[in-house]
Amino acid sequence: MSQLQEDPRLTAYALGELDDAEQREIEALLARDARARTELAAIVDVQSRLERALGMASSPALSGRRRASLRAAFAERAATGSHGVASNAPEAKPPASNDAARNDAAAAKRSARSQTRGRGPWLLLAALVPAAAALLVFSEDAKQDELVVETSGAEQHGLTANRIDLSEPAATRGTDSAMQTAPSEDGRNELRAGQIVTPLASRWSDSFAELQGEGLGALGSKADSAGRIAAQMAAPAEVPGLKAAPRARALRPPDMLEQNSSLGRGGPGMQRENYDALEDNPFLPVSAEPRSTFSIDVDTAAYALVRRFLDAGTLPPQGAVRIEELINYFSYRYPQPQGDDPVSVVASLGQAPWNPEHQLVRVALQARQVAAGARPPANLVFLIDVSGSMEAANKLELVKYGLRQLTRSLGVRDRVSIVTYAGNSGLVLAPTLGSRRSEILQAIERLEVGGSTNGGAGIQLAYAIARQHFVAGNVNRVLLATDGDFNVGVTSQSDLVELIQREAKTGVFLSVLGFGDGNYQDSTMEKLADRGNGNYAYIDRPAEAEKVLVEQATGTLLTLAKDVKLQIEFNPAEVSSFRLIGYENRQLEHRDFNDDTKDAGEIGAGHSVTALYEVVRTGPGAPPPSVDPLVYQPSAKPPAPPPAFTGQLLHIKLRYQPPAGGPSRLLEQTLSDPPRELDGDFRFAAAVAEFGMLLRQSPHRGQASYAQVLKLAESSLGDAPDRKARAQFVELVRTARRLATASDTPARPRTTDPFIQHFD
Amino acid sequence: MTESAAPTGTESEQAWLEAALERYEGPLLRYAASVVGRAAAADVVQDTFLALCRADRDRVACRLAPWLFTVCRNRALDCLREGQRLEPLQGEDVRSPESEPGRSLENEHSLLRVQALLDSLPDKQRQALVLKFSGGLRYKEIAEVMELSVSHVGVLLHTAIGRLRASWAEPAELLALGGEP
Repeated sequence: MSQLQEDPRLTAYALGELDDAEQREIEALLARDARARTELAAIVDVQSRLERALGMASSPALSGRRRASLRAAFAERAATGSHGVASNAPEAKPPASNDAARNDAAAAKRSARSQTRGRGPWLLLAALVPAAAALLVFSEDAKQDELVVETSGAEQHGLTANRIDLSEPAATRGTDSAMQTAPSEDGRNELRAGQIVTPLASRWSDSFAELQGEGLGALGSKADSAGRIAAQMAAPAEVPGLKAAPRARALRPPDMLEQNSSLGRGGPGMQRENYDALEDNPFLPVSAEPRSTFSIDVDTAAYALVRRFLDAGTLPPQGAVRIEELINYFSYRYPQPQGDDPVSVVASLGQAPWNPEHQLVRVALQARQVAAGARPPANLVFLIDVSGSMEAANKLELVKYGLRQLTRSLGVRDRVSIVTYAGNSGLVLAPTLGSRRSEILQAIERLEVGGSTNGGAGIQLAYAIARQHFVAGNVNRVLLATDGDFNVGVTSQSDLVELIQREAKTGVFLSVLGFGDGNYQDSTMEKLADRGNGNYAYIDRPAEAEKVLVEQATGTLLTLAKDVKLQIEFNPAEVSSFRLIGYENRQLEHRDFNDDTKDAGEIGAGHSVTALYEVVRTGPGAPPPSVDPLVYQPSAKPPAPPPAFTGQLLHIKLRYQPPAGGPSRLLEQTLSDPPRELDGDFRFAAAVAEFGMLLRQSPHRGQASYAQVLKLAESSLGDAPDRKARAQFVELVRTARRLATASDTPARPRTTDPFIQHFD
Repeated sequence: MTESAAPTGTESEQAWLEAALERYEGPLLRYAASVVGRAAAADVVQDTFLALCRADRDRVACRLAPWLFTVCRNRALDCLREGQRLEPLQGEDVRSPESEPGRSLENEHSLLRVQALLDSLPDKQRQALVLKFSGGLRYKEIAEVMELSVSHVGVLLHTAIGRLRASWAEPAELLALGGEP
């Protein structure tokens, strides 16, 4: 394919010079095109010759005389300690572009990275090729675990031609999950370093390990070097998500990624997980910014993710801790909606536990409970990722477990379909009524891993099936179960998000169920759910699968209101500044509140949503405004509100649309003094928020402490509806406290500049 | 190959300069040779390090490699303009690694062959290859040094690698006849 030979991107790929999107394109190409792989192998071969010929080992040097004279000049410079020392040497022009304003540290990081970055999984393969003459043969269907490497060039390597089948023996299946979950004492070990960026690569590294174990001479040593590359790939620095140059990144702020460090937070086997970096919302002065507008968020994934990190013995990366999702994971006894509206909103006021000078406002939404039997029939399409990366006890097996549980609770009028997506997307179970349980269960048992992930085609098929059986007023929903590691097909995240957004307009809602660890793509998952009129849960254990798919199935499946937005206006006479805790990536423009075309979060039956504001009351104790007074409007002081509003802190407006669409409805509510003692639910929500602020090392955490979190949480167990989950939370706080005091190292650096990544 | 990253505050000025010399002397020599020929390369590189002596370390340290190669290139182009293309002084100014002991014949042969192949490439392709594989520069840095666009650099390197690949497929003897300068 001459077109291929003219494409400079293969060379750039081999040299690690492609940005994120291009890299994924090339990897997709390599996955499907054998000629591209041959091409890449040839390029890598030339490159390795060049590296050997031109690299440091064979560098020329200046003559001794010249070196001596240079050393003398160096010494003189060091002695005088000044630059611009007069010299007779010919004037050398300074570099054309001396934008030295660039941050030293950032540059150092980049250069430290540059040596090893850009090793994609295909390079691992290409690096296996002996420099002399070798041929890579892929089995025709290109299944990743049936990789065959054929080497020739015996005359150069003293080997007879070898044909080695790297396909994984059945006995070793599942070993990579064992590796991932076996932390060693110091939190790092060899095996983990070998766990690679992509599932297919990790499969290979296992095979390499086997090869080495069998002592296959020269090939063993090749495997060794491939293993080193694998280790380099596993280091966060070369993660493809970080590839984009800082400048390119600036153009794509939604792609800001926070990479957890393999040595700091994040821990074993999680090097390739992606979490969006989130800055805590700041305090805003009411005089300048009296309103706060945001979309609700009923996702609960962050709590399960945080739990998984802590259970694995590491503190979670900051970006994984979305406080609103932590709070909304739990059930609260908020008043049921009265009248026609499916949601209610109330506010209450109390003391902020972590700062005695601040108060806490709780805005509580409650969606109407719907009994399981009263739910309208459901048209559910399960879209199951069965790509190689899903092969682990905590992935596909857990998906199957969850599906079995759900099947048992289906009504006879419900309809279930199962679509898999991998190299080929396929319909595993045509739409089947819930009454035909054994057929559904058999189809679930048939699910097994195979192929690479083509998120796009599978999603299209799933939505097409959901549309076929669409019944207005019923539950019409696609449930996507994946680890989010899409690597074939519509691979760019923005394409995928766009596709989902388009499909969501047809009235089919989406649930995103996240599974697994090691290469978990939290940021992709959350965006998909957000844009697809969906909810997002992370399932780390059977109990969580039951909670999401059985206990709270009605809430997960039945959407009562969509595009739910909140706008709070603060009264400057009572509140001097405020800060919304959490919801950092749910902020809306004030003008979008009344704009029904602007997307926002959905709320399901029985869901409650809690938003906490930390407020500073107006008064002698209030801090001076951080913003300078205006020059042209010296009387910046707001006019006193009419006396009728005295004592009112804030006014709440809530907008939602019926699930089928149509004009939005508005609910309003006010909150007045005085603050009351926090009730049990409020105390618990405050405890969870404080816990999140500690994990995030929030600059606003004040006197927050794990001890205080424990005291608050333990005092609010009482007769809580979800006493068990709350008790589990208490245990989790203890774990976090132990980890935080044990490590005692300054935890992972905060991302202060969203365009600069931290690795160390 | 460790990149000489931004120096720490405790490192002395002299040690920093010495480290830069150790790290970049070879790559700069190769690069200068790729521009101005082997004869004048040593002069150019010496001038480059003298320029580093006079430079503001704070400004240079964070982007040492592209800075050095840019200075080196400007100096080499000056030499070309001044017509200073001198004849090589036999083994005096530049110690060629090929003459060092401990090198296998096979290695030496393949190094010579690479050198011959490099010399057969167009100037820009050769320079880009040296910056990449000897200097360890990124595309963006190469673009900066050579005053080209990043995509142009990508095409240069891709084309050069393609040509080398084709040449390597040919028998070595043919090359040895035509390739040596």
